[in-house]
Amino acid sequence: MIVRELQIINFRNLRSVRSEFGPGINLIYGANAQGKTNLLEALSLLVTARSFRTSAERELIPWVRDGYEATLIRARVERLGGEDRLLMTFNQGEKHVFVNGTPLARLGDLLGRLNAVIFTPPDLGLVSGGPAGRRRFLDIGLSQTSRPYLVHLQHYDLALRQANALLKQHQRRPSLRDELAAWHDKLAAHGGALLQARAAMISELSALAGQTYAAIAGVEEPLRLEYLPSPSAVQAQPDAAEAALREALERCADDDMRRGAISSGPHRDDFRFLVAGRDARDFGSQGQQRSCVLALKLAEMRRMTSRTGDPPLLLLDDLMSELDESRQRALLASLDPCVQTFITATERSLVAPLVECRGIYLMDDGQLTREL
Amino acid sequence: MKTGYPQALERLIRELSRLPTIGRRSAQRLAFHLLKSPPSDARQLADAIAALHSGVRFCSQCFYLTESGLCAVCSDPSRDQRVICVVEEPQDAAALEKSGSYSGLYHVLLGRLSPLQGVTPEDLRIKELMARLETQPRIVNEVILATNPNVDGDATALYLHRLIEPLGLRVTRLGLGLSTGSSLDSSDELTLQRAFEGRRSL
Ligand SMILES: Nc1ncnc2c1ncn2[C@@H]1O[C@H](COP(=O)(O)OP(=O)(O)O)[C@@H](O)[C@H]1O
Ligand SMILES: [Mg+2]
Ligand SMILES: [Zn+2]
Repeated sequence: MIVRELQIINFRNLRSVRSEFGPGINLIYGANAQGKTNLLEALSLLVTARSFRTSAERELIPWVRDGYEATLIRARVERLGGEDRLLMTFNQGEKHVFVNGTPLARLGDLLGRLNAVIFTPPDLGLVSGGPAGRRRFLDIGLSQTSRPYLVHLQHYDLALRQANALLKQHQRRPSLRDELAAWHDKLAAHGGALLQARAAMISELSALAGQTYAAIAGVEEPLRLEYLPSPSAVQAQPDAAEAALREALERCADDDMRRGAISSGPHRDDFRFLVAGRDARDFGSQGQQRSCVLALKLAEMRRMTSRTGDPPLLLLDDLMSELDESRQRALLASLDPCVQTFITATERSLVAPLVECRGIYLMDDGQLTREL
Repeated sequence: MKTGYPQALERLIRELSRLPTIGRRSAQRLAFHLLKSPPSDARQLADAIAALHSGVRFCSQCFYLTESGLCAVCSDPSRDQRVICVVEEPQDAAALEKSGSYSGLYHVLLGRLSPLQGVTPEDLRIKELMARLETQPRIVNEVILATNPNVDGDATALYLHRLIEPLGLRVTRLGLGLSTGSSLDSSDELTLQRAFEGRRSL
């Protein structure tokens, strides 16, 4: 996919940005706090419908609001077999998305229109951080490549909140067990689908990341990803995930009622990175952990490409200042000229002399100027 | 100190904003609209609201809407007494009636299970449904669960299924043809007709 044109109005410090972009590497450079990340954030709103930095929409609206009417993000996207015009607008309160002029009934319907792998500095903690970040990584990828996955995810999330509310607020009710069984059924049906899809994704990513890890790390060590599903029985038999989850929910029902929360299911999933057979979280150096993340993100690019037949965008935010020199080089060397890549850096020289850039832009106080 | 509106206006705004989907801002807009309109408009609206509860009741058997006692469906002898279709809201029964594809009786739950919103089985007309099934076991032989095909509606249907199953009745679920996440109320007539034809056993 290629974003041919992007327009942003009234998004954080970006008053009015409008620019054309081509395939290959697009470098956006500029000093700190000029709006580079804001631009990637705005673009990524067209990918996932929500920000990778905040869940509070009002933070996205400019602080100075004289004459402010609405925020607008618009893109012309070339994809396999056609072109889409995507438009998102919001002000305090209402958010609307249009595809080719037609409003979407639900924000979620946007997913899968413009695919991207988003890689920002906080992602470098994906190995050492908590499991929620790793689950989010799985969900963002699968939601873009599978519409059924997204629907299961939304339904599972609602069923989980309902079941937990039941367990918390209604502990003393006589019919609790019967009511819980009804929610168990929904949890097992949707959760089973999530578990199965995640197992397949992780085994695919494991193979792909394993192929590139050595080149990135600069040492001949094998990397493997291992899925740690909840319930753990899914690990051996992903195809029977629904039955395994149903069984676990039943088995833990008494405990769950006492604790006031559902204790098994994909909301408790995790996966780990095994470098030479050892968990990189516990035994890896910071460098190894970062190599793992790089390998994972590049593997996700290839997974999405093979799923959809159309390479997603790659959004790389300010990674040059975070990675050591050898990993910077490994990252730049791995960039594919057929993939539209948006890469931000504080200085032009951090990227431009090392790879061929098809477009170079300067970001200065919210103004984007094309230099190449 | 904040200068509020005159008490009568403030009271109307407060009452309006208690209605679903009406926030304080919409309530204000409605209230000012009424203020600017001729007083007779406001009176007509007030009369309609005041007459609502004396003019509309829930059917004493199935909780569909009626003017008194039994609803038009329950009191129609040509309806198939052997089938009861369970729906969430009166609007759902109305949508099915409009589709003309169903000739049995209804039972309106007046809601759906939702622990998040504090809705428990006791808040729904489930006790009354069970009483109907238990006291008329020879007449009724099929219960169609036509709660909406979304997470809450499905869970409500599953809960009812567990309750009804031991009675030995045929329990079916309306669903095929309806897209998940949708509601009966907003489905077109053809879709509803197909949903009845494609109902499946639970
Ligand atoms: N809602 C907002 N309104 C106006 N300016 C904002 C808003 N949110 C952030 N900013 C400004 O945006 C700038 C940060 O932009 P960012 O894209 O993160 O910078 P960088 O170029 O370093 O990536 C800061 O100057 C910050 O003050
Ligand atoms: Mg930045
Ligand atoms: Zn009736």
